[in-house]
Amino acid sequence: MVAPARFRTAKWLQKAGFAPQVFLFRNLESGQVIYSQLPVFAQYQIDAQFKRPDWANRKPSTRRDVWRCMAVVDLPNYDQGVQLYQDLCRLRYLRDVLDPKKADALRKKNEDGHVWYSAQYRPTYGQEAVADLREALSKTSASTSQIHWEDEWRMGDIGRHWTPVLPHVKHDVLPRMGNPAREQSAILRALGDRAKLAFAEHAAANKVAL
Amino acid sequence: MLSFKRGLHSTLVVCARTKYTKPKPKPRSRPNVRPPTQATHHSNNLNITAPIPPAVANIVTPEDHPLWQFFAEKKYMRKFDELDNDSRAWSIAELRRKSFDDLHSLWYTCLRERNILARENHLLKNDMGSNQDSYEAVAEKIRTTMWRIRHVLSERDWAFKRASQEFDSQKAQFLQEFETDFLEAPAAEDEESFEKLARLQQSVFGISEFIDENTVDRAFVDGMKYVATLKLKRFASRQDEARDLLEQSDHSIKDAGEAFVIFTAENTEAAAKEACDVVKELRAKNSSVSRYEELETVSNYVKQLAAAQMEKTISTGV
Amino acid sequence: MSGYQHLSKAGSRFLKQVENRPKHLVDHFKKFEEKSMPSFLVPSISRVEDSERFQSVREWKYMPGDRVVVTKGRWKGQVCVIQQLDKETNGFVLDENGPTKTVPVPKQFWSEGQNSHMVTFPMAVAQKDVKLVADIDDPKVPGAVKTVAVRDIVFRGSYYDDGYKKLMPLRCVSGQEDLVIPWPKPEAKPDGELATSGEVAREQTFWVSSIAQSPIPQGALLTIRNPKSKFRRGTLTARDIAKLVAPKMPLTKAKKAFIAEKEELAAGSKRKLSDQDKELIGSTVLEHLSKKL
Repeated sequence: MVAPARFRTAKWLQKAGFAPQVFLFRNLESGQVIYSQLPVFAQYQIDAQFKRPDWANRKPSTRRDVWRCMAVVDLPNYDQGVQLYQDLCRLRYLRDVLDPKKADALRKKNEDGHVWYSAQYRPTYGQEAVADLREALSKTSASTSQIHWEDEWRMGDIGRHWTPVLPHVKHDVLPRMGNPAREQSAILRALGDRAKLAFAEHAAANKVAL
Repeated sequence: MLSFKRGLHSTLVVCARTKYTKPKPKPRSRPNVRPPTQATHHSNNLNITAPIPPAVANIVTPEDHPLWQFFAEKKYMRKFDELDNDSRAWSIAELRRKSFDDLHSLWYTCLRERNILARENHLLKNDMGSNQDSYEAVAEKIRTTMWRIRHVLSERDWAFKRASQEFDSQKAQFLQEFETDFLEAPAAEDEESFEKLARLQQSVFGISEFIDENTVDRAFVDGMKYVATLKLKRFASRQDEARDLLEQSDHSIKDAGEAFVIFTAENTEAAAKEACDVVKELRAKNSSVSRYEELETVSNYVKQLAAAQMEKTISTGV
Repeated sequence: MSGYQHLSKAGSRFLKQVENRPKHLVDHFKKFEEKSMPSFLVPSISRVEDSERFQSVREWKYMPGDRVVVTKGRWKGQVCVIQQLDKETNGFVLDENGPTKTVPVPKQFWSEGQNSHMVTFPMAVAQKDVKLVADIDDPKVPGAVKTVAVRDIVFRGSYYDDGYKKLMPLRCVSGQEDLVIPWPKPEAKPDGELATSGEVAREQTFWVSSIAQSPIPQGALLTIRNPKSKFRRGTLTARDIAKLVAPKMPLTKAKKAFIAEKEELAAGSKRKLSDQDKELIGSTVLEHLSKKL
């Protein structure tokens, strides 16, 4: 896969026919999360977002069967999409490199003082990704955006965590008819098409207004 | 100081930029500079926040979720005293009295209960690490019922196979005896006699009274011919047409089409006469069913008749 | 202990080995168990092996509700009612007249309303230490009953008992078998939720109606019986024969040498007596005889 193998600018994304979206993928084995500008990911994202791998936070593999789409964020325009992606990566950098102690203090620990885990799985990574998404969205100047979650469970308590900070963000659930794991690419493509259409309408409306 | 930059001594000294050398001139201003392709930058006021845990409350389990079938009254686990420890398994003698449908539904009832018990037992053994066998003891009783159901069905099948093997040798004699009894009965007892005939066709040839329940096979066609012949013989003493037809066809109906006409006619003299007329018409037209096409033709007839009956019931129902 | 033993038999042979204690150490283990366990968990009579546990009422002889008299120990002569059967020890737990023990119980096992460490427990009594007590007609005073202890009971015949809902043997006095002591009435219990009512169970719904149609659908046959079962096939495969036939005993070295020698001898040409040899034998014999006689 060539397309996700480097940072993509807003112009490139628009030209290449992608929608103003950001994708979150989670690892079924370890619970780690990857952010991507495109509906796919590559070793590039893993290298960029796991700067300090250790035994509790290994660099995950690109095995496609262990990665599932966790959320898709629709944004009003491409620049905001790119910025959201940059913010998410920055937050990951903050957690891993700049202020690991602060991030670690917020995590649930087991009796040995390590990040809580069951076998390889550490649920805290997924939960941190949700928190980071909220933080990044609140700092991005996106007036309206929509998040498509893989299920209702993952988004957390909306009344407590989302509405007070981001009242205008709409929450939605990815379609789960049939076999969503197998149909993932088709579902994401359909979602992208819809988002592109919405963006075009929005742009046209803006033009008329101007 | 050691300098690790490689070069000739003289050129290095000349090229070195020190505070005494002249600064390079500013580049010339270009008229059309390409704007940067990347304008955005990450925000600088980002904070690390506490993880947001997933919320179970968001998920609403529907009342009719199929996995509820693995729970007893939607309980995580039943207590030991909530289990039915006193009931025993069905005995084979009890199961022998039950029809296939009853046994089938009992089987699935057992299976569902065992599913529940297996789930609870697994939780008990695996999750809680207990070595109590309370769930297993109940499940074992249910398993006993299940193998007994299979045993009874197998027994029934063997009995049927043996009986049909033995009956093959006695069939001709039995039918002969029935025929004499049937023909000797007085005309006043017509109704009872024909009821007996209906029972016979069900028990020996497997022909159901309801035409749409039948599957046409060799036994069906043979039975149909036998019944048709018997009907004609019954009415031959009272009716000239029937007698004539019987004599013309050598005292037994061989053609499946003719047999079907007589077989489906009602058990009255008038209907028999009508049927005889139809058969004669058929013979006049020289239309007969070849023995090799019998099954196919008769099954078509049966289908048509069933469809006609269905239409009739619908129209009368309306 | 993986917690998967109910699903998989992996490692079960090893576990069985561990559970099989050597016979000469059984008493040792028992003593150790009694020492190491808290006194409120130690049974008053020894636990029995699973295979020796009583299964039927014929083995138990007495059921809860029976009156018995204790014949041994401190409580000898006490008449008590059996409260329950102790399946672990094959013993009977008696009511408050029977043997009890007062032992300390740690606080985490306290029941509600308890305010002392010392708790009185009933002790189980072995079957051989109790005798059944029954009321029988007094032959001397007609119309009156007298209470007797029965030395032993025997079982003769059986009948359907409505209370126990099963066939129970008739309990007779050993040596006077016309005297039947009825079983005590068990506590009435509602039917379990898995139970089927008697009428429904007895109702007949299967009738043979035709010899031309199978009583069960053909599709169901494969699920109740394996038509290719090796038990119905009637022929033995090479594998089966290999399992049934004992292997040949390997030969010892001496035996092998003996067989080799025999073969070698058999392979050599057969020697024949020539006329010359016969002559020689004859002459030798003649010489011998002539010398002796």
